[in-house]
Amino acid sequence: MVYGLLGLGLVLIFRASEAFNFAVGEFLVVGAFLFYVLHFQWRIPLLVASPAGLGAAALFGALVEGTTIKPLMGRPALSMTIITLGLSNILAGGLQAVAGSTPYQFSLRLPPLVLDLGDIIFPSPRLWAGIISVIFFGLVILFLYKTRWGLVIQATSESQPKALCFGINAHLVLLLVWAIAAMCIAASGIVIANLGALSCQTSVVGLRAIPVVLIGGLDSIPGALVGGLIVGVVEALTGAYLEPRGLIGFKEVVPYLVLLLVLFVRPYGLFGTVRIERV
Amino acid sequence: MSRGPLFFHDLPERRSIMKKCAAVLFVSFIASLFLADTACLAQTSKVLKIGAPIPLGGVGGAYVGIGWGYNDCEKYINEKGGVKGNKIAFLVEDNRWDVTTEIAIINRLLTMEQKDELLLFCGNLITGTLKAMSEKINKEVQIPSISLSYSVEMFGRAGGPGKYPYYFSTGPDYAQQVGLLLRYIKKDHKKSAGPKLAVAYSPTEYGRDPLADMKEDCKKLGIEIVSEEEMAPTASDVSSQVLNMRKAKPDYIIWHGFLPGMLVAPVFVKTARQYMPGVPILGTHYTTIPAMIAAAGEASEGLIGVNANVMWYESENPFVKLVKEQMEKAGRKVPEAEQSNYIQGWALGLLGAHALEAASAAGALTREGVRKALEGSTWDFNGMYEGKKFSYASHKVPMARIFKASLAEKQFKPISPWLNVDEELK
Repeated sequence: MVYGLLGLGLVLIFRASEAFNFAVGEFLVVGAFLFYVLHFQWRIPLLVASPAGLGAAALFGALVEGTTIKPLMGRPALSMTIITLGLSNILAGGLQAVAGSTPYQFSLRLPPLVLDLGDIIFPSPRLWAGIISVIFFGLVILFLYKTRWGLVIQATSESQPKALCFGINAHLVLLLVWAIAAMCIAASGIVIANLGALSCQTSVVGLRAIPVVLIGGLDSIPGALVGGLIVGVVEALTGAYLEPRGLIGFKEVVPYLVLLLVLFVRPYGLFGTVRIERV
Repeated sequence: MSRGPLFFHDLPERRSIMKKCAAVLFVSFIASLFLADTACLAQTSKVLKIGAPIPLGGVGGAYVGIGWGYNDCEKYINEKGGVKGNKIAFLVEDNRWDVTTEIAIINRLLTMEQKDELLLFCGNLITGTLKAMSEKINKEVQIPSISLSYSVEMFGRAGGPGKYPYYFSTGPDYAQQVGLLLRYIKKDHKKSAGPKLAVAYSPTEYGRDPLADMKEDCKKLGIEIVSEEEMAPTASDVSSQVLNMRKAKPDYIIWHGFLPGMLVAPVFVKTARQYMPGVPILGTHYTTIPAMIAAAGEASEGLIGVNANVMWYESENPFVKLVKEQMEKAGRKVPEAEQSNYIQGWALGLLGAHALEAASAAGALTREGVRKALEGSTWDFNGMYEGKKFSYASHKVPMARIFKASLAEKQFKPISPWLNVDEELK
């Protein structure tokens, strides 16, 4: 579910601008660090720090969009994608300069929940990671499908020129999409950091979003959810059954093998829009 | 009016000019002699360089404190007059905890620096680098290299001075460290059946290094290895590995091949505590430092491990006293997370300077001279080991202690005295 939420952040941006955000890992760390500062350093209670941290992450997303993506509106989507590659490097360097390379202790005080099924056990942080991700995913879906602004985002994602013709401020919508995507990524960053610690290296988790969204389909919101579930389950099963048989480290590779299989059968992902391009 | 021939015209004036020229020439000659003498004097005093690659980023995290330790140690030695009038300089470079980068740094320094100036490497020199560069360093360029690695292959039974005459370490090798832990387990285990052990390691040269010796040692001691798991340094989830361990029902876990700065380190400790509460986790040198407590928080309570250095908070230790005095003198503020690294920087720096001083005293300030000086050293590391001195003939210091983490104090507290591994593991 956490991977699904991470994938959702990428899908939203891709749907709105056809750009792939390669800085997803750095967005994840920045979002989690903003929350860390509020909750662990400034000691703001969790219930206040969570929305404030996510709000700060949204502002960060909007700032990035305003400074790097907005000037490229109307240019090929590839330009935006390349910008995110550069952004990823700048953010990675900046993060290390500000936060250093040492991990920061990150343990949320949440009510203990343990699901013990004998051989399989789900300790509290894992269960909470799933619960928080489901709730957040649900809230974003509700916003997208049940609110006026959600409808506006969907319309703009469908076709920017048509949306402009209908008087929709596409610039503002794109800003909003980047803000929401940054929130999704930050939320997944917070629950991921809660499983261990927070450091600049946490950004490598962002790479997991790539097979998630490619398996599900780059422009499909349900695809992000399904892709996330597939990657999570496949990783867990490989770790539990294949790695002990000598295939050590196979867990890291298997999502990409599944991706390869899916792309052989459905090049646009399981739920991606099939595009026929005339040449 | 014709001025006539030059030689006979205004002769007294010309004589005066000649005198002036002669005076200028004489002064110039004296000045050139003086300058030449000064240049000769300057040439006799040179900067002795020590190549010092350390990680300032990368998957293992940044260990800036080691660099600060070098800087302040360099200042301390140079303020004392250097090594027989020669200043020393640590050439600190960022190896990003990456074998390829570190090899490139070593090659670059070997190419750029003069052979009689770059006399020593004294730095991270990670296990993978030592293995890859063994031919070049030990046979081709023959430069003594003091490493922060405790590799079994390089410094253990299969390696050592006979095979790698230019490699030096500053503590017991990883197999010896694990050997101390296994003996601790044997002593601590109270059940009638033999202890069952789960092993977690990183898929790196460093992580896999002591495995063969560990298995042999376990057989000897009657300890059964029931689970063996690899965990990548950048893994953010190790639940499947820990679940596999849990299924094997171990009495103890040994983890090796990690650093507190690696993403996986706090993830593993937290996950292991959640899935197997009460099972002791034992580690080697690099996870037995306070930075591990800072990273893993509550889950670090009770972590056990071997460390070959003195801890920052052992203020009565003469080595720590010296380091703290010099730190204050240098106006350095060392944050908590960097204190162990700062100590390690000083330990390495002082050892390097000691080697240069010993080589200089023997009249052989060359790479070979430094190697011989190190090998022939009997030194107390400025009192680090409670005044005990050790011969460096084995190319490693045989001392270590076992520690246990105390979350309340944010410290690893020694639960054993200094142990001489050569005696303990006989």
